[in-house]
Amino acid sequence: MTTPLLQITDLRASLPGPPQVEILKGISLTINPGEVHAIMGPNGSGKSTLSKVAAGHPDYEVTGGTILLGGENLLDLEPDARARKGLFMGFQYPVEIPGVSNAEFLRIAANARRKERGEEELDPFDFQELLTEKMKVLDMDARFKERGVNQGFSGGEKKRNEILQMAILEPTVAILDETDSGLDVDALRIVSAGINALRRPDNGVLLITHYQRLLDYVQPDFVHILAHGKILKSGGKDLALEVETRGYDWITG
Amino acid sequence: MTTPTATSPVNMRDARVPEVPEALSTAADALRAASPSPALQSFRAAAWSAFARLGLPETKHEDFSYVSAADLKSSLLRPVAPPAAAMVEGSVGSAAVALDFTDGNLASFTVPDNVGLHALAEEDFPAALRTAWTTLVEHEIDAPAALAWALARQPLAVTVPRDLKTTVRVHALQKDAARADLALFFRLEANADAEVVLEADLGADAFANAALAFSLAPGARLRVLQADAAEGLQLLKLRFDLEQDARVEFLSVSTGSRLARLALEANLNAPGAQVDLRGAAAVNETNRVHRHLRIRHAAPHCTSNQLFKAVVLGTARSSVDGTVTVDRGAQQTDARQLLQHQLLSAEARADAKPRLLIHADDVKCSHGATVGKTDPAQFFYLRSRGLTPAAANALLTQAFLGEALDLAPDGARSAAWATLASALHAGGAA
Repeated sequence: MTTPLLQITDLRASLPGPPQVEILKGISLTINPGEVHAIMGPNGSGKSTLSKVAAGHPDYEVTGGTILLGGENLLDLEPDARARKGLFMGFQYPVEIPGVSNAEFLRIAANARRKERGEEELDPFDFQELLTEKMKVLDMDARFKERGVNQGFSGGEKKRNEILQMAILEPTVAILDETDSGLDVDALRIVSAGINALRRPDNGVLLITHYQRLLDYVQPDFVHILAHGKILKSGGKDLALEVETRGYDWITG
Repeated sequence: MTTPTATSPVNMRDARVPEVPEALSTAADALRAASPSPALQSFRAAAWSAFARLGLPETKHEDFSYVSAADLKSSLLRPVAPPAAAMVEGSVGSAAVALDFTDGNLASFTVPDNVGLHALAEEDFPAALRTAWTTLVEHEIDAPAALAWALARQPLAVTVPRDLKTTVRVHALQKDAARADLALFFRLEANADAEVVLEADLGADAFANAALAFSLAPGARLRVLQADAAEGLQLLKLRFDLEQDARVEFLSVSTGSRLARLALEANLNAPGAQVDLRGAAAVNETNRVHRHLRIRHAAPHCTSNQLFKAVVLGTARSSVDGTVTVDRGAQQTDARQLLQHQLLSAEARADAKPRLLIHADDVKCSHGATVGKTDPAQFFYLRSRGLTPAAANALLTQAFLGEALDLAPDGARSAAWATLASALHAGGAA
């Protein structure tokens, strides 16, 4: 029997009140090594909340459940410790940080992760080499290195930058929150190729998406439909196609 | 030689009985008596009457409302050392201008062949330059600067001829001396291009009061990189007068000190003049940093940008008081002003007073001030990538200040950042 990479059990989370609003109402999900899962669902179903709660966003209060990564409950860890343990969250709306060069930010982040894994930290020279190589895969212009983090990036460039971070941090599990939103077809293809290139037998990906089209490019092993804070239906990639033609109503009632 | 246009004071003070402390007037009399030069005497008389008009700074005066009155007054009232003959080492024909002052006396200088260095006391001091300088001193708007003009032992002028590119380094060393007043005037002729580095190294109890004026002929370019001393009491006034298409870039880097006050006055006197004034400060412990900015658009089609940022830690204080005045007729003015503070401790304090006085109707002016902590969204983003809270804060603080440092060339930028980072580190931010 394989040991799961990520095991979410009966996860409950709220926006603190008053009035307290429960958004996740008991979510359970297991990702095994090498698997790609997709979570789909209508607006307001709790998809983005799930990713933020997993990453430790301070806006939410976890009221129950566990998220185990490598046997450790992530909910006991600070957001940065979760990242260093190997969780990656790709933001739906990546944040702009003018004044911090993208390359410097990426190097600091990469070294924080490397240190955690007991690997030697990379000096700026070695890191440049790694960065150049990864940027090539994502078809990113070299000028993105020296620009401020996400500063003045288009929607597509920001998402590519998220995948670049994922490529550099080599997470155990990546949760990608609506990485496809705001992408044109070309950008979607490049971003998807990046995600596919990062699929490995020893890591896992959780794609959160509103539309089926991302799943044409990144083939999931499992698809889950999230609505009203719960996973109402799980299946294979055909489930996504069914949602595309029939909508969510037949599941959500 | 073109005479710089004199401008009237930006802010007219209320009628006030001038109080000239006896200790200072005695010192001024001694200085006057020591120099037989009529030029120097009339210059000092002009400065003295400006000071009498402005009066000794008080906290109740709007221009000094954030500054410790006790430190300010006791500094300005410190006794002035009697004039003494000082040894000056100088060389002509160097690649760059360097002026080194020790305890308020010119200790050494180098000057290239084609750059002029003139002491106001000398008989051959250019007459037009003297008139221009004396006129602007008469109209001084900053009381400490008026005193610096009045009490400086040896007012000096540097002239950069047309089309010449040069660099100037001014260094003031003052370890033990209780007080030093400095006065410098720079004239850049048409299309001259100068980079001026201003540095000071003060003892903890030293008081330095300096006034510098820069007069730019049409098309002249000036970049000033100024760094405050790490300790001591320091008052610095810089004035820029710009003719047509002249450009000034200015960066001040400060970690504050017991008293650090920078007063900037920029007068955009002809179309096409541009100033870009920036400040970056990281102030910790009980340090103080104050910036006082007065920008005047006196002609149409001029551009001004002010970006002043400070990170405040411990029980430190920072203030920025900035006013942009757009004169009647100064149409097509483009004026921007942004004064930003980050407070990294509960006891840190920041005051910002952005102000626009617009007397023309076809202008583009913006101003704003922010006081806050680090941005929570940026903070979470960095932490989600594995950065500890301390590392995330350090990076965000660097980012916050970085924009102000952008106009410095690479070497100066990294030196500036090293200075600021050490203050942040000592203050526990990184």
